[in-house]
Amino acid sequence: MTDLEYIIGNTLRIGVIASIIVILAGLTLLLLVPGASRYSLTAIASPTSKLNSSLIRFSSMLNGLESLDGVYFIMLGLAILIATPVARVLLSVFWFFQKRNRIYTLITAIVLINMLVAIFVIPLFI
Amino acid sequence: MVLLFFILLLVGGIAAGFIGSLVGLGGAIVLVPLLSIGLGVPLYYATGSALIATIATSSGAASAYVKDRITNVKIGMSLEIATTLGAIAGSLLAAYIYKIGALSIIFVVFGIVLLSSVYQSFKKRKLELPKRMRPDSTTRIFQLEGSYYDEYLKRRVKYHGIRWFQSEAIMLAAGVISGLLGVGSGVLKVLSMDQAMNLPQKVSTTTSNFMIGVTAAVGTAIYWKLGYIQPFIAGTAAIGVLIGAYIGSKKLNSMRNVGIRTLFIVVLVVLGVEMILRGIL
Repeated sequence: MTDLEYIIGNTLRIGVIASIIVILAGLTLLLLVPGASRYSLTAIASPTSKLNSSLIRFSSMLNGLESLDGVYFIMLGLAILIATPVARVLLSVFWFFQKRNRIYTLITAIVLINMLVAIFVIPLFI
Repeated sequence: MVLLFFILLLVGGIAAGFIGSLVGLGGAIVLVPLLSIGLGVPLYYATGSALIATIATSSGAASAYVKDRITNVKIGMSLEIATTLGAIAGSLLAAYIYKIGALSIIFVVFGIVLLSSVYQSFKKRKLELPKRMRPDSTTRIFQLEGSYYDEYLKRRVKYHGIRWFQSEAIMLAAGVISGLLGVGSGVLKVLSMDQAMNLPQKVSTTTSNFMIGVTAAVGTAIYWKLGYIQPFIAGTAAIGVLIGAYIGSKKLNSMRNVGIRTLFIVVLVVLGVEMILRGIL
């Protein structure tokens, strides 16, 4: 049962369901707790909104979630969505390593390193 | 007003996710023009939403395709080396290209490349499955054999990939284009697996779907920092895309390969024209 397709399929499914729940919670909170954000609903839900990801720091994520700020819930949901492909690559490295498939352990490890560099190192230079 | 904006974003997302999951791409081809021209969203928010939509299409559709064993996981992963490297290079080059004003040239060149690949795809339009070709050395080294159960043909289809290095080279270009333009990497991935690797259309589509999430994830940190991701727009579109991708992923395997290819050729033409227009306007 625990073949790679099963593991990857489930990882993707869990990531997708978790992000849907958190994003929907965020959209609902925007309506129900409008005072939580510094921005009004019409300012957030405008095509030319001034609010965007450059103003959202991960260090303030906990505060934002605690004060039931819908914006932070949506961004957390998007972060889960972004982390899902990384998780499936990570699990693949373990799986191929365990199966002693050397060439694919190497291949998936390179992909994982590329992703981690792109997500954590490259933004420092932008 | 907010409600109308919400509904239009959701519906646009569903359309993007549906088409993307059937053809193997991220849905930027639908979302970017819809958001920017249709809804007056600035291009940077539209591109950021499309990147998020790509990850949503990928995870949403691939969770089904991988479980149904249509996706070839090994082929996808081995080609992700080039797409991730290319995407990193592309995103680093983007600022420089923008500075020297060459971005419009790249849009036009990419558009021309897409339009010129129409003929090759068109020639194969009546083939339900690709002509068998002899396995080469990369078939064995990178373990590129596979099979899937085709619900339209009602039988198991065995296939193998060839010309791994050639496919990898096209994937590098797909990564660079994705990093530079934020769109279009799915189309090049499908072309690479279809033309170079000689895989069945459904395998190319679903394996591309599987891969685009990884390529797009590479670009997200930069987009996040630059402020291209607007929570309401990207979040609502993502929900729509996940719904659309789910519907598409239930439909794909009962379709004919020929039908999927026809849809892909239409996408090639539309995206080619869209890219040229973005370059010259």
